[in-house]
Amino acid sequence: MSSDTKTAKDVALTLCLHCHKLNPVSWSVCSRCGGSIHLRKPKSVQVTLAWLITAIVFYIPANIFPVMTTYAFGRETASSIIGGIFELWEQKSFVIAAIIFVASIIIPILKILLLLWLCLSLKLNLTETLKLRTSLYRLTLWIGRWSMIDVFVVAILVALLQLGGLLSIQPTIGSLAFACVVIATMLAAESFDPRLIWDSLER
Amino acid sequence: MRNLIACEHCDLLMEYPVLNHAQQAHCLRCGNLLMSRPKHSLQLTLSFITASIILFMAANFFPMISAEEAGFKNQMRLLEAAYAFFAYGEWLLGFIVFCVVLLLPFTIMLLIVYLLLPMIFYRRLMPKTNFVARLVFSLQKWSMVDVYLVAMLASITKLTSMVTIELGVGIWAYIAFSLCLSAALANLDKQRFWRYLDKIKCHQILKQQKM
Ligand SMILES: [Zn+2]
Ligand SMILES: [Zn+2]
Repeated sequence: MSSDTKTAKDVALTLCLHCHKLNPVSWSVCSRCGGSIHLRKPKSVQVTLAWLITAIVFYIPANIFPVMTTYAFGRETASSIIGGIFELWEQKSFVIAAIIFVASIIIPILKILLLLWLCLSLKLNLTETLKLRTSLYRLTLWIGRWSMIDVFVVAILVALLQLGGLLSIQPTIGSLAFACVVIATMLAAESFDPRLIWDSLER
Repeated sequence: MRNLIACEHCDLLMEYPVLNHAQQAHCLRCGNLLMSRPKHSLQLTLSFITASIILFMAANFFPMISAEEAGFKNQMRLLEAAYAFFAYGEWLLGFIVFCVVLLLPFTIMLLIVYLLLPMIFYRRLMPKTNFVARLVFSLQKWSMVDVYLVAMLASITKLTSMVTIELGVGIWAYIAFSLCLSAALANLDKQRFWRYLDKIKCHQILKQQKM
C-alpha cells in the first residue's frame, strides 16, 4: 500500500455505521443520527464465533430430523431437507431441486466455513488476500437470507395442503432448527467487522 | 472533515464523491459500493412504497393459491403464510415466518412513509426521525419478501405434482408487491438520505433565525 492511503482510524475519526458520518474517536454517540458508535464493532470476532457455534449446533438437528410429515391416503411419510431435494429431482424438477440444494445445503455450509476462515485469518494476522477476504465477507452478507427458502416452502405446503383426511402436511422440528441456523449465520455475518482485516496492515 | 468519507468495509478515507445521475462510487481499496445516485432517489422510493402498501393489502385480501383434490378444496392468502404453524403448535417457527414475511416488511413500509412524506412535501421532520431512520436501515435486511417469492415459485412446482392448483389474484399482487418493495429499498441510499436530512435541518434553522 502506498504511504498516502490513510484510514479514518489513522486520523482519529470513527465512522458511524448508521449514517456514515465521521465523528471524533472520543465520541460514543454520533453527532448526526444519535446512534452509538465504536471505532470497530465491539468484541467482533468473539461474537461472530459465538453465533457460528450456535449455527453449527443447530445444523445437526436441522439435517437429522425431518422438516415435515406428509399424511397422504392414510400413509405417513417424513421428509428431510435432503430427502425433499431427491424427491424433486426424481420428479424432474431439476431447476427447483438445484435452487433448494444451493439455498439450504451449499449456502449455510459455505457461509459458516467462510466466516470461520475470516475469524481465523484475523487470529493469524494474515496480511495477504485482503481484498479477496473483504469480497467474500460481502458475499456472506448477501447470500445468507436466501437459505430461508426451504422454511418458506414448508410454510406454504403446510398452509395449503390441508385437504381433510386425503392429504395433509405437518411441520416438524427440523424446520425450526433450520430457521435457527439461518438466523444465527445472519447474526454472525452482521457481528463481523471487515475493517479488522485491513487493520493488519498497520502492524 | 466535512468533505471526507470513509469506507464501511475497510475504513479507507476518501474525498466525498460528486456523482452525476445514475453513477455509482466504489471504494478504491476494497471495491465496496460507497454511494449510488439514482434519479430522484427519495421521491421514487416514496412512490414505490405507496404502490407496495396497496399491493401488499391486495396480496393479503385475495387468495394466492388454491389446491384441489377429489372434492376437497383449500386456499391460501398471504395473511395465512404463518398461521398454519401456529395451528400445529410450532409457534416459534410461526413467529419467525410472520416477522420476516409480514410484520417487518409492513413496519418498514409504514416507517418509510412516516419519514419521507413530511420530508419531501413539507420539508419538515417528524419527531424521533433519527431513531426511526436508524431502525429502518437496520431492519431492512431482515425483511425477506424476495426470498418468499422464490420459495413460492418453488412450492408451486412441487404442488403441481401432488394436487390440482389454481393461482389467484393474490399471487400476482404479491409478485408486483415484491418487485415494488425491492425497487423502493434499492433507491433508498443511506448516504443520500442522511445528507438530505441534514439539508432539511439547516433549512429549519435558517427559517427560525429569520423569524
Ligand atoms: Zn450516525
Ligand atoms: Zn473500502
